[in-house]
Amino acid sequence: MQALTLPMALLATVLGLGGLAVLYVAWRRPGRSALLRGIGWGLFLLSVWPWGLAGGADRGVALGMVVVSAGALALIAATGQWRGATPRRQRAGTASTEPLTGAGWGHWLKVFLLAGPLAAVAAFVLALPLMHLSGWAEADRLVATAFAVVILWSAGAVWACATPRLMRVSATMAGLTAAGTALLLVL
Amino acid sequence: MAQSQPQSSSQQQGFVARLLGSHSALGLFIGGVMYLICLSGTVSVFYEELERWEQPNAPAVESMSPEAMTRAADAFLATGEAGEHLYITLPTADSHRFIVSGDEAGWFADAQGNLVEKAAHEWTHFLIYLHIYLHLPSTLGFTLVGIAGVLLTALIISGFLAHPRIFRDAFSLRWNRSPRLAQADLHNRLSVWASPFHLAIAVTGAFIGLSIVLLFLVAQLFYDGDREAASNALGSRDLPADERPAPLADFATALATLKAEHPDVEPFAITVHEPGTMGQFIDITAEYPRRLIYGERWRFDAEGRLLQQEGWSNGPVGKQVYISTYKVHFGSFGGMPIKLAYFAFGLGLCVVCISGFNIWLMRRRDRGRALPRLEKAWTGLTWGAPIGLAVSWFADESALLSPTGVFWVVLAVAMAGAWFAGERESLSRLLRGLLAALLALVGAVHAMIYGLAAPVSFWMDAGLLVSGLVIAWTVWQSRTAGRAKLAVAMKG
Repeated sequence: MQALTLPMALLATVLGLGGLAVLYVAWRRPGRSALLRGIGWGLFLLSVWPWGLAGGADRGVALGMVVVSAGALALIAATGQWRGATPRRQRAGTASTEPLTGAGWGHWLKVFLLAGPLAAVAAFVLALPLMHLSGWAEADRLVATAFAVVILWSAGAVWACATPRLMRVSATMAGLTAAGTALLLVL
Repeated sequence: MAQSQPQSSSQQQGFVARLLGSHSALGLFIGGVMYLICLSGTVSVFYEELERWEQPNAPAVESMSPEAMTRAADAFLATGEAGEHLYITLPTADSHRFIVSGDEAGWFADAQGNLVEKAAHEWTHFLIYLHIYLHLPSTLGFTLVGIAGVLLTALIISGFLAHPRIFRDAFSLRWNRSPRLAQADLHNRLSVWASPFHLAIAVTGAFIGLSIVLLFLVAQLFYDGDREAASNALGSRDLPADERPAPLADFATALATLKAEHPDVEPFAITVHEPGTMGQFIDITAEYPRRLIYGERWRFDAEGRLLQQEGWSNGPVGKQVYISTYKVHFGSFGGMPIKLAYFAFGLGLCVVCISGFNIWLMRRRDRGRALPRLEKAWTGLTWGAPIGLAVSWFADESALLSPTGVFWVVLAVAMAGAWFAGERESLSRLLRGLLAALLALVGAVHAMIYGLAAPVSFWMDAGLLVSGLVIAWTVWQSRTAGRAKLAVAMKG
């Protein structure tokens, strides 16, 4: 069996890169046309189908993502402003935050504890009983628990780092941990 | 309404600022370690090729008769190096090698089944251990790398949420503007357009790295502490041992049975558990060419009769997802083009790590709160790590020093030296020049020792030489740009 069905792969590549080209055209227009953006994203979605036929349902989609990502980066490299303009100072106010100023080390120690160990404990303690109660097959439960832990922990870490209200984060994580522990004890 | 709009806009700005703050805080916390994991992971994409490159003149075997396989296995067992497992790596379309190994050592065999050369992939193993353990004790290192995967996932989430102008800036790369804007554009464009890759490797890396902790917890909570029982849902457990001696299991018959029943799969590995005992049994793993799964495994008894199929290809979805994480993480699902793309995306992720830290340093400098020593130490880490990898190859090749020790000493010296060095730009040029020379030297020395007859030697050595030249070109470019800047300043 061939690892890739070439005609379908070509069709998928044309659709994926076509979507990218349409998005680029939309981006170049002053109004950033919503219609063109919709068409661009639609072509991306449409390319999933031939990719699935070309390389296998799961593998084909992965191949498609690699092709679109590579195409986009190549396009950016080809159209980038590499030389010519005079270096200018950064506009004030763009992308400007300094996470390690304005708060003492005590604050950042609390953030570290919340985003690290406490978010981890909350994620594990919450995911384990919920997945156990799901009634799915054993393998599905194990794998879903692992992914749930990764997502819950990441979300907890982002929240702990982003909010100034650490008490609220602490209380929520403590509440979730307590609820999860209670469920584990019942199970 | 008129009043609520500015308030809402200001709330949104505050939200974005806080998210950016969280993104920076997470990045600063894990940046250096993440860079080492990403750099070693990027090179590890080619680990199969690197293993072949380490011993390019090992015998090439395209196919092998069952008699020759059995002869090689018997000869290896006679060395007493097998331990509790006998592993046979079969030649495939991508790798023309036959390796027979045990828990401690392995040998290449020729097509007649004669053991020819001991398999030694020390440098590749050093690299892989850096990526998956950070050279720490295995459980600790594995879990720490898993946590890095969680934090990378958090960085991706916070990066997207903190980017309200995602489409407005979708294709902008203003390298000719201020250094900070150039770095920010590079960081954001690489992050956004390679995000499917970043997310895939972050989540699968976290999944793999946290598996030990998760299995431990699941075993304690639901299986009375029996970890093997907990993991049994994903892969079959070992059969009961019976250590009475017996002739080696008939894996050749098992392989013939598998090929007859599944002609569409490509077997690539045979494992004989407890070889040469009454309790021995055989696992054969084969690749499905159009699937993301690492493979499917069939279990046979010592006479080569089929006992069971694992179900990685057709079992519960969880099993299929679990076994697909490997190929998704290492990019081995589409041959060399996908490996090259993964290598490029991996380099991009290294650039994202470096530029993220650089943006924070530049922002401080712009506000008059520069941290010059930290800036230089970061430059030392950035270029010291690949220099350490190159030097570690010489250490391994000399067989006098441990590549692991040499790598960490070189990295420490690069960072400490950078801390006390002069100007950052000159330091960067010096380290890049050194890296360029070392890469070219590794390629040249390897070619002198092993020759270029094997295709893997030719391509890898040429690749190293070209990489060295490209880096040397960037040094030359930045020297020219630096001189031009100086000339403008002198005129001013």
